[in-house]
Amino acid sequence: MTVDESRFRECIIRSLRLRSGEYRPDLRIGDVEQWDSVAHLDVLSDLEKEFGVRFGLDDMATLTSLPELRNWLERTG
Amino acid sequence: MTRDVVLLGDKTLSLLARHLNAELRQAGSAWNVIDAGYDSWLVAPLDPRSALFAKATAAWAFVLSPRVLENVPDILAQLDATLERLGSLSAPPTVLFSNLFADPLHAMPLANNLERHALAASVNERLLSFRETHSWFHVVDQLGLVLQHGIDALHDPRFEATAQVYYSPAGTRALAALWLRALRCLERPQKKVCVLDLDNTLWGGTLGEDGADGLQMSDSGPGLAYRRFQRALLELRRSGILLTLCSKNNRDEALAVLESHPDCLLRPADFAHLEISWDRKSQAITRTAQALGLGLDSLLFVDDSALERAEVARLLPEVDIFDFPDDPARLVGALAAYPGFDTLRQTDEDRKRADAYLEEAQRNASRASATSAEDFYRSLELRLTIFSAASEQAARLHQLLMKTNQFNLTAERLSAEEFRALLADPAYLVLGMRVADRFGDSGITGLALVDRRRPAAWIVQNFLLSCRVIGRTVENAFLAWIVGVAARAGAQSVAFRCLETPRNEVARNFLRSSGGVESAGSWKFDVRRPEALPQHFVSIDAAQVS
Repeated sequence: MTVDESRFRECIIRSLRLRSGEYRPDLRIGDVEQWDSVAHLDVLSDLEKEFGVRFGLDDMATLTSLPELRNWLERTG
Repeated sequence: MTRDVVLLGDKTLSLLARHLNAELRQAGSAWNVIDAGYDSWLVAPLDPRSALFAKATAAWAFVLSPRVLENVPDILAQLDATLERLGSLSAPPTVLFSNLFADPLHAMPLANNLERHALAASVNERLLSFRETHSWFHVVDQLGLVLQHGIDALHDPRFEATAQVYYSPAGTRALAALWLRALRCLERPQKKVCVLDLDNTLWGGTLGEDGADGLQMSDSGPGLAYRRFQRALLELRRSGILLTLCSKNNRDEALAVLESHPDCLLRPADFAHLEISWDRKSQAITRTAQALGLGLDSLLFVDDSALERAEVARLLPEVDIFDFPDDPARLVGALAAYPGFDTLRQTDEDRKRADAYLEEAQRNASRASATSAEDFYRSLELRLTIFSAASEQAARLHQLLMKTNQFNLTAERLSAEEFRALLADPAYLVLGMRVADRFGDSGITGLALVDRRRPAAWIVQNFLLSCRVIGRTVENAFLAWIVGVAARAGAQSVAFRCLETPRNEVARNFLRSSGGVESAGSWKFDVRRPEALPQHFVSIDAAQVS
């Protein structure tokens, strides 16, 4: 599916509770202090809910950046 | 000032800490959550260097998952050892312990789950019996959360495999909401009164249009929703919440329904105050608060009409407004979701409270027929029991310290831990007071914190009585008794500290007229002049005070 960039961005900002200006389309885990391995669980769960998808166990371990997550959604969703 | 609560569990609780901290900040709470780490519940309490024993730590929260039933072979023995360890701490923190449930997703569920459920029930029974004897120990109803939402909505094996969390992110949100309520009710005064409309609130239909026979509150059909709501309100009443009425109706017609409608569970005597008139609800609610001697911020207003709710919300912003559901079938659920009546523990005084207002009405009738105030006081046969507080009474006395506004000389609140520290301090005399008269037993309704660090000049740091018992010379008797004890202990004076608050005028006026001398925010009483103290008509029974 085509991923609506603004929906994707809003979902990530909400999930990580980012302040304005902290979002970048190429963020990866650890780039901002809010995105640690714990917050990552919320990112996965919130994306599943927003886009109606379900990550597999392997995906959960390997998808650790916004480009990877966006690509996965486009490929699978 | 923030107070730390440390999370202890068998799984990873960092996701709960993340959500709970966000919720607490949003609610303006002073609690700050710290995660003790993976599988910390058995080890951390034994380690004096753990966060549990840090100075800022005020509470421990045990959040166990059903995996302990599978992974800890001797779970009951381990639990007993943990409780024994908690019981032996010299200055125990506030402890919150979640009750347990068994996960039914196992091999051979029909045969094997029954024992697992029984084991979880044994754990829960042990928690409840420990709670019975330890006022600082509370049980948080995790089992209820799981029954409400279901394990499939709370748990996700993928997240457990990825991050060792039992609760999924969505489940963690629900769990955080439960723990938010538990922690908030430890730091916030409980609401005291539920103010109720009648038409389409206690029953379906409108009395003026449908007539008494057309009202819905029977055991079947659409009336059942209202009947179940009435039943829930009676449970509130038994738990110490006062019910009052605030309805626009003809008074006689509405009372006739409450007195004799066969389907109505609530009767006039269940209400501590009645307002049935065509006045504005904001006026009726103001009169209700005055009649009960409570602040508007102790009230919840329940009304099906959005217009009435808006009027009260605009004119009386201190009053909580019930989130009235569109569908009456959701009334009980909405009441369960309202956090203002939350408490983790009920005292005997809570269970007596609603009846106490009936007794008070009988007392007032007796006062009206008495020939003099003195005759009235004598006729009451007042009995006071004053005791040096022990830990068994700590929960009730601390509740009194937190809830009393009007007859409270300082309105200084202490946390549960600070209060228990005072109880253990030999320089302090923490006095509790019970009151009874021929109309009823009011239970523990008075508290004095007496500082004896200077043996010749005692200082009463705070002195407070429930407003239910004042006006019967009980306050005079309590004050005189403290001055008498100070005299016998060799003190020359007793000073009662007094700070002005917007609500404690009654207490300040009492002190002003009690024969003391004011200086620098306190009133000093000379123990050699007991005759200057105010008169009372109370027989006092005092336990040995040390």
